Amino acid sequence: MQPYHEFFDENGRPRPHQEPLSRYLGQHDAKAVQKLHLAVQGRLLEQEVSYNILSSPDGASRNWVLDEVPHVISPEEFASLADALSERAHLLEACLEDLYGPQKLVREGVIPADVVLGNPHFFRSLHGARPLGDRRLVLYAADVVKTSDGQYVVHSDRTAAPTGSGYALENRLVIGQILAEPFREYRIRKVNRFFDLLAESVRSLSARKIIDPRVVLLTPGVHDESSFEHGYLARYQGFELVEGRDLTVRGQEVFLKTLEGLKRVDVILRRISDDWCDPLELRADSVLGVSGLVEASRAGTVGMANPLGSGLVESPAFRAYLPQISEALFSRPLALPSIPTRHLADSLHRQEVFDTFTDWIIRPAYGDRQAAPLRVKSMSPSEQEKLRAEILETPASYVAENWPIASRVPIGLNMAEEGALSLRLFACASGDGFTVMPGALGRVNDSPDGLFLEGESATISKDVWVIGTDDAEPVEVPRMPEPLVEIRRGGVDLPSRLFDDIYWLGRYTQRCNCNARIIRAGLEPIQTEGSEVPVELVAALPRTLAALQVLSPGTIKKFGLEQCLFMAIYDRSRGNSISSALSRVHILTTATRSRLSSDTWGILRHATELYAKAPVERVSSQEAADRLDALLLSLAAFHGITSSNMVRGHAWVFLEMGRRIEQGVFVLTLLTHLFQAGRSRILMEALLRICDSLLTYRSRYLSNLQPTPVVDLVLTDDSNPQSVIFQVKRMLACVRSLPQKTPFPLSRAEQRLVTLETALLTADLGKACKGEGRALKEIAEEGINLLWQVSDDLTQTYFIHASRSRAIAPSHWIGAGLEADT
Amino acid sequence: MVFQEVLQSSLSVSPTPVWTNQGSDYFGNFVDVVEVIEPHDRLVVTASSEINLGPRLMDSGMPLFQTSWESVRDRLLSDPRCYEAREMLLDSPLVRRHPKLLEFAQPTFTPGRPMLEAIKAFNERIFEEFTYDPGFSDIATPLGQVLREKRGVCQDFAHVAVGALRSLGLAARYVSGYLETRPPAGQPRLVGADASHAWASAYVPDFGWVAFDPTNNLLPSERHIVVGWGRDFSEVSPLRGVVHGGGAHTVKVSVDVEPRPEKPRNLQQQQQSS
Repeated sequence: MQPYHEFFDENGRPRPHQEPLSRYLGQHDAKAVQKLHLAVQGRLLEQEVSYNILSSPDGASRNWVLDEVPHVISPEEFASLADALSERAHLLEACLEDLYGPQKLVREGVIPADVVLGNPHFFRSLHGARPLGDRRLVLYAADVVKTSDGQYVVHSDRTAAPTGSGYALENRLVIGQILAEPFREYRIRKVNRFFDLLAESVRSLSARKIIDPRVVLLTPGVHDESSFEHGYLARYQGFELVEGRDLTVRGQEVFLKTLEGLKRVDVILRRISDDWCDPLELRADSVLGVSGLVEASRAGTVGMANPLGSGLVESPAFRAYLPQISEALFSRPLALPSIPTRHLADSLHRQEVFDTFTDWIIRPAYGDRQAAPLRVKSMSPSEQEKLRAEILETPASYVAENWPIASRVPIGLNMAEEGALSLRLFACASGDGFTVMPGALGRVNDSPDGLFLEGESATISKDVWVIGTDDAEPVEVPRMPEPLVEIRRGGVDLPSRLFDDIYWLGRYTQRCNCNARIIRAGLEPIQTEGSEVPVELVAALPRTLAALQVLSPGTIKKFGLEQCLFMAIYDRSRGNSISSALSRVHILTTATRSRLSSDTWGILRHATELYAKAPVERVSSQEAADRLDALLLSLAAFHGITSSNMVRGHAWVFLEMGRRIEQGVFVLTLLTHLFQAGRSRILMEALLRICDSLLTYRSRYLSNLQPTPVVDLVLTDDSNPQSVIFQVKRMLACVRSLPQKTPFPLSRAEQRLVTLETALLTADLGKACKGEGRALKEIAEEGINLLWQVSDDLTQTYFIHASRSRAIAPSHWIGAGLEADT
Repeated sequence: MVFQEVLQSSLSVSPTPVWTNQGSDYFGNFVDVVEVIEPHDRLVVTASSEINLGPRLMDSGMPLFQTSWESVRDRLLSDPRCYEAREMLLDSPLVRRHPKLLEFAQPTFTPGRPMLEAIKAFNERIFEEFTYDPGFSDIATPLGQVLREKRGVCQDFAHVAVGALRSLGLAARYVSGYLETRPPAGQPRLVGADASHAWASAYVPDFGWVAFDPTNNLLPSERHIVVGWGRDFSEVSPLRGVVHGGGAHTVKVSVDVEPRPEKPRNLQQQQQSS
């Protein structure tokens, strides 16, 4: 059977509703087409739209692929599809209502007990609990394909935490702006109203009837496959983006941890599936959730979208019974059918599937998305036999699906290729009903069998246009909304975890900066003079890098200078190597993206990209030094733009503190390990160069290099922004601007900084630098010690929650008791 | 059919929780939720209860127990009054039905054999064929391995019993409880005493749940104290919780069961006067 072609009819002409687009694209020559293509790619890159691949070990993300040609749907076709979809959403919601309540569907035998009571996604702790707002589904998504006879069928229901709406929005903002002309001509229906409705529905779940309830979007974090979307939607809808560790349950209420204490949370829009939401009552090994969330949700103090437990009906097994469920609950056939699905617990169905085994795809009945679906067709006879035997062992844990041939759409502006199309449609609760997003996330698969099975071939996405019928709707090109806000200062309602990340962003960028400068000091003589590196440096640089914990003591004994320096740059197995520290910076940048301007974001992206890929072939010293220069420039730009543009709020304070601690410790480490090692002219000069203070020294003392003025310049000269005292003074200013419980006694961090400042101001440098310089070493070591303690103080005071939670060990109840007896 | 009556029960937690809540779970077990905010390096939870145990009234001569295990199996599915028990026919987190478990149970569950007789015989078989070996298993040891090696502790034996019965199509649940410490004169000390204990229970329509203890080859009576039940151990762990921060921890459990000669009425009076 021929697949249905969405764009062209049987005679190869564009279908009537595709004509305007076809005409518009026809007006563009190859060059103009290329320009459109570049415009789309440029936008995506700018936003760094990505989709993380779970299976890749290094947590790599792949870029979002968006086809320039939108998929257009006629108004009539969409209207009937939308009606059918909202009926399906109603049905699934009614199903949840029954199963978490009276369970008539099971008692009356409409569905086998196993599908509910044997389903790991049925949570007994939620049975009988009513969600706030009385809605069991707030956001619902379904994946549909169109069969050869033009009928839409569902191949996946998403009822727990549906993803994709953010990507659909992003696609629309990109394509809608670039193809603004046909967008207007078609009077394409806009999707922004859908997001407004969703936001309204979510806000209405608040138990406290207040004007501005606190809504948070709960994300698993930056490693989640769709973390891009979480940040994007949070920004678009004006919800705070939080992770599980940003929240806490006290009593039965949920709170956001901020610098100024706990702030009550009213509604959680969750992007975490049911079982991971609460380690106390659901999966004990979850570090993503919030312990006590089930209790809070049962007590009705926090609204959840979707309510906990709603993931039950997305199990593929339900698809097999939806026709009966529809008859039982609504007394009419299923409005939007599914692809043929058989639950293999039923012996008749099992026989049917076994008789035509190669037509089917087998997958877990209860929706383990990590398990790859099996195409029987592509299995050897012996593998098929084995699968049959496995099915017969536990038939209830399998379903079989028979995929229709999906409709085809053209790919790319020249429409030379085509692929199978699947649409992810979205419906959100509004009033008593559902509103369907007039658009969708289109996905195109150009592999031969065109199936949309999880975790398989990379797919191309498409913006989906629904032609409007209402002439009254104003035609506007879509853009991000500008919410109306009141004047505020500061921003203390942000999760304190965000400041923790910003603090570490400051530390890691500065660490990269410092380490790059010391490594470059070793590479420079090699490249410029073409001669040997002075022996003092050959010994002192690796030792200093070891003291900075960039290299291990074993490494510096084993390898020569150049090898050591290269490892300090490229070796990803070392946590503090330049490339490791930069990948840390990348993660922190992603986590703090909501607080960074797009220029700042761009600079950091540029810096992290310099070392994103491991070098394929041997790098020369010259190339390595050039790349370090480029990195230092990027980091200087980051420093500059934040210093000149960043509001002096708490985010700035923590970024600044992070930087200052690193710089202080760095200079003190140089003093103990580089300078101290004999104090040759070469080492003093290297120290000044690494601290970017050589020019200043020369202008003051000409070429007269002596220990005391050298040490003064980098340690106690408060006019030198590289000096230790300068860092200490800045940190004191920072610490004093942070919220504190009492004005006196001083916080521990402040006490330590004052101690350090006094020690530096009263140090007798002449004496300290005499002889072995033991006194100087003591000052420096004490300084490092104090700075590390300041960092611990900050963590203790402001970020204590960052420590991980774990479940109480479930084992040994019996063993321990017996031991106690003997 | 009350064979266990709680006269009084108390729970103390140290450090003192800032918040507590009492309720019951899906299966009707009592649950206390506590929240301790104070930093601590040791959490002590002490539960003490005074209970009255009576005999479990079960006359094996009752015609009810002469019905075959197959008719029990069929009743479970056909009789709507058995709905609540149907939950215990299905797989649970730690116990999955399996042909191997079925194969193990079948020699005992011969066609037409009366339900109670079959259960008693099966109880005895587990007791005879399995070796009590506290070093062999932990909570993560899969049921298949226990069945293959025929070793484990009471928890494993209860899981084997529950899994085997479910594989036959019978409803079985896991019971968590304690054993009386000191044996009455002339009786041997029971294995698993002074510790948490576990056994199994099978559903018989018109009667209810029939408990059996494969670790000790007996039907629980006045020496078995029920704490809770569920589909398997994962649902009736005596303590579950989440610790924030800190390093590793260990769990220590001790159980003390002491018979009191006083009549319950006297006991209450004593308390009021003290």
